[in-house]
Amino acid sequence: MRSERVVENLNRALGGLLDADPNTYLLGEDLADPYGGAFKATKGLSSRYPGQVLSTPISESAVVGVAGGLALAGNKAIVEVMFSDFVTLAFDQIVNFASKSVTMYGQWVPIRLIVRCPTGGRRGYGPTHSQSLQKHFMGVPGLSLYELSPFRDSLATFHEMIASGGPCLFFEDKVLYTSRMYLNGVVDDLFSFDHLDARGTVARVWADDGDDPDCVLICPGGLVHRAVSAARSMLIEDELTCQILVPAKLYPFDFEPVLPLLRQSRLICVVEDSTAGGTWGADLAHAIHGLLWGRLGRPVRLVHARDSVIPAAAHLERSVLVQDSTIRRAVKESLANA
Amino acid sequence: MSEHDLERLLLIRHFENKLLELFEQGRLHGTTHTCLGQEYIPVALGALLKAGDHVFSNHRGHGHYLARFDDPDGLLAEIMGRSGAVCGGVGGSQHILRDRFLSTGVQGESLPVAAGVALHLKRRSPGEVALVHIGDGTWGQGVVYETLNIARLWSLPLLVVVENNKIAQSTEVSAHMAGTIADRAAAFDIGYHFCDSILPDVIRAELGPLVRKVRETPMPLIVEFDTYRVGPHSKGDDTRDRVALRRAADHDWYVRFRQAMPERFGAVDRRQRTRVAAVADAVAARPLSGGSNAF
Amino acid sequence: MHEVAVPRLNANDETYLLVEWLCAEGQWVRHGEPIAVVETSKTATEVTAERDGILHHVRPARSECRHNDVLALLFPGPTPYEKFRARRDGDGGDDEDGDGSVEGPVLTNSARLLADAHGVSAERLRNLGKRVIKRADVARVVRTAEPEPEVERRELPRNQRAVAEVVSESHRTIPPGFVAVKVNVDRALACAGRLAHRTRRLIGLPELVVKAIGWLPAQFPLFFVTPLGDNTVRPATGAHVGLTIDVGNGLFVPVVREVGQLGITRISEILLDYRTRAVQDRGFGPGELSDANIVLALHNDPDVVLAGPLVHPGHVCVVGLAGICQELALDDEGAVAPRKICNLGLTYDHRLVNGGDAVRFLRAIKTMLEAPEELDWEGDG
Repeated sequence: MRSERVVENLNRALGGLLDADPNTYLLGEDLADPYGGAFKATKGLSSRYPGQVLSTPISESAVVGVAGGLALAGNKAIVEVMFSDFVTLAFDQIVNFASKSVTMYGQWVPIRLIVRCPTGGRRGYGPTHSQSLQKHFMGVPGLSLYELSPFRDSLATFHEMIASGGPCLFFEDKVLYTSRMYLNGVVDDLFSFDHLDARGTVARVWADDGDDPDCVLICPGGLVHRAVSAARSMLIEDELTCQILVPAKLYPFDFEPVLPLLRQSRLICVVEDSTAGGTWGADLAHAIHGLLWGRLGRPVRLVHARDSVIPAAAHLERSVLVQDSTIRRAVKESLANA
Repeated sequence: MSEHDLERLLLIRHFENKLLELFEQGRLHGTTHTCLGQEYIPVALGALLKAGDHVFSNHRGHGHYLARFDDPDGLLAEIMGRSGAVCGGVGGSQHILRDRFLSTGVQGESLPVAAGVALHLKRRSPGEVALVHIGDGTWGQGVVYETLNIARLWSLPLLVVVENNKIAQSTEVSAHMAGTIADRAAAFDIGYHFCDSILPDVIRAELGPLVRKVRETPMPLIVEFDTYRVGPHSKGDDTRDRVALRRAADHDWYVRFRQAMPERFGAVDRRQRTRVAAVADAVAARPLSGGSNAF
Repeated sequence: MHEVAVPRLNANDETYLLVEWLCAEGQWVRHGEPIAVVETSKTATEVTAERDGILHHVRPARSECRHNDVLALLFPGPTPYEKFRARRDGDGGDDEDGDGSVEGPVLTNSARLLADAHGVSAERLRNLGKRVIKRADVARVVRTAEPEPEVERRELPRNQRAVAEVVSESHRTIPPGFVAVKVNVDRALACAGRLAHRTRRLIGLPELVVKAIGWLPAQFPLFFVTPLGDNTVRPATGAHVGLTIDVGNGLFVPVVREVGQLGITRISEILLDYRTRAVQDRGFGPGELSDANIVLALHNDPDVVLAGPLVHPGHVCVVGLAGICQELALDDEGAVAPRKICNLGLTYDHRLVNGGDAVRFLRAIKTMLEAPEELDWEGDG
């Protein structure tokens, strides 16, 4: 039996949430059937839960605001932003209303709001439809960032976000939608996976668990395929052992489950699709340097997209975004430097 | 005019005056926006609201709060960062949450939030409304139009109260708004009412049936109040010329009501002035607020 | 997951036989518990679990195996075990009985190159029971398959073994310093000739240096002590000079005791006796080879310029006497004249004495050798 596609898993998770609680709302542009969302994540849901799934005008700020109001009134509200690039239009509602309201009234005000952000490039959509904007939402008090992972049932991640009681952004790599969920610890003929914590927040991908890894790659779900491909070529061609850590929660980052592995590795490398400068990786690297100073053989290596707009033409887009070869080159370069 | 209305109007007036006085004395920290001249709007609307209705306020929100809660102590403590503050001193003048009252400091931000609450009310407790106060300047924000569009499309019980004091901070309405609010409402096919009375009873008589329609249909409604800001935008930042200031002062309900009923007014005026003075002394003597565990 | 490998059971058999499993697939086994029986051509041996865990049979009973092959896997708990089973069943489609075969491993490029170069079979690699085979894994297989050729071994002579032990100990424990002085030996040689003529004994520079050392304990007591560690020493009772004698039958260091109490005649007799016995390879008694507190290393063959011997453990220093050389020098009148010189070296334990002490020590000997006529070489004090 083949595993379900990631978007099917996501659709099932959303359906599960709507089914379990009639006070759960799903809002966004073009969500309703028969269209079912630009990436089909909501297909069938408006038919099954007509009062809870609401197709909206093209008004990101108002839609996130309405969702914030629903959450303020005690509901659970999920917004799909068609392309995460457009979440900038709702920046005020996310940063100044939803995130602040949790604490700025001098009491704990739960705001159960999840903004889903189809993210990333590699589909030729060009500079305003391909970005990975996670970094712009880091360090906002009250706001948590999660990312879709092929290693974790999205329902578990949704439950975790809702249980947090604060607003969350859920970044979903668009290319990941059509790939398959990984099950039973199997990635491919070479790589296995398991989870470092009981809740399954952090997945670990490994090929050969005999030795301490030469490198630990930390990457969000959207980078998994490129990271695995890089790890494979490094193992087969360079005899470098990489393990890959895929956290479902990007920020605030929980280091406890990953520290033992990080301590064992010759190199730690954080990989992401964001453009250079002020990145998620830079934040993680700074924290890791603080936690493991004196144990690290070399600085944490950052791999990210170039400091550039993301071109539409496939060959130009490839030259900007992280490729498996980018990761491999970076790891080898860092390991070559004592 | 009821005794209650007069008491509440003068409570707000003396509260705001006291804030400006405390600022001048250097006893207040940060900023504040007083509603001098506009106090009658929330006082008038108060009688039209039910306990289940939500009120969304803005940066100029002290009057909105005091019209709903007879709690000058809690509000002043919030502004002064003293114990007994409504929000532990975290929110301050512009960020208050108490029961179904919420204010935030960014223009237009609370309009879609109010629409979301209105959607909730429509589903879960029909007959209740979400009232949101905005000003003429708020119409510069795109999210206002996004929200009106949605509110009409989804038939939300959203009561938009526009306090058109004809000035946005320092910018005259003629310089910041093309067209009219009435035409904007028409463009969205949303009910609209213009109100230039300062008499609470008159206002209630005009709006009563309209608000009932908002509850029962349900349907959004825009009410535009023709009003005047008697004081500065914040504190000591009034750049209006003498003519404009004269015009605002001429419309001040305080002067008109005092002339109309000097004896009754004088008694209440003294009572509220004394009350606010006592509140200010008592709050200033309290220990600093402990903040909260939340932030 | 822990791998249980086939141990080395004997050197002769290429393959062993896995006779039987003593514990079932999936069974929880304890550290030290016998889990399988493996048979060589000579004997049957039990293989024990090297830690607690859930047992997985990598190969079936009655199958052949080799040294280092993975025999079994031990999983720390049911979850990893089930995951492993699920993955194996999902990928390999093994039957439920589990014939022990696992899916073919993936070789790294350099592992494949090495395997191809040595003709290591795919089956042999599969038998390692690993999913990823690296170069080091193949190298282990290659080493196991090709036992190291037997090389001819000869042991060093007993005497040299003893030397090896002493110099190794010295090198390991004594931080040395070294200094050398040049001695004009014209007058010493003339003096030795006169003494030899008078006593009819063989007297040369070595005998004079031994006698000279005998005069030094009073002035340089630290050079004769025995270090006891922890910055303490045992004081000397006199000068007991060991002499390195190597005439081609190995190195011996016999001792001349209480040199300070012996005249040059007696010293020359003892040295002659030692040399004779060394040449005749008659050996030395244990008493004659121990209890020295200083050594004079004789490197006085012609053309030896300098000698820097190792300090013997238990000593503070060793004096090295090089060969006699001729050189031209300016005499007192400024005329060029030939003269005979000899370099005298001192290797010393720098923890106890310093370079300045060493130079003063050597200068004392040099002074005696350059003005020998003023000394009573026959005296015993």
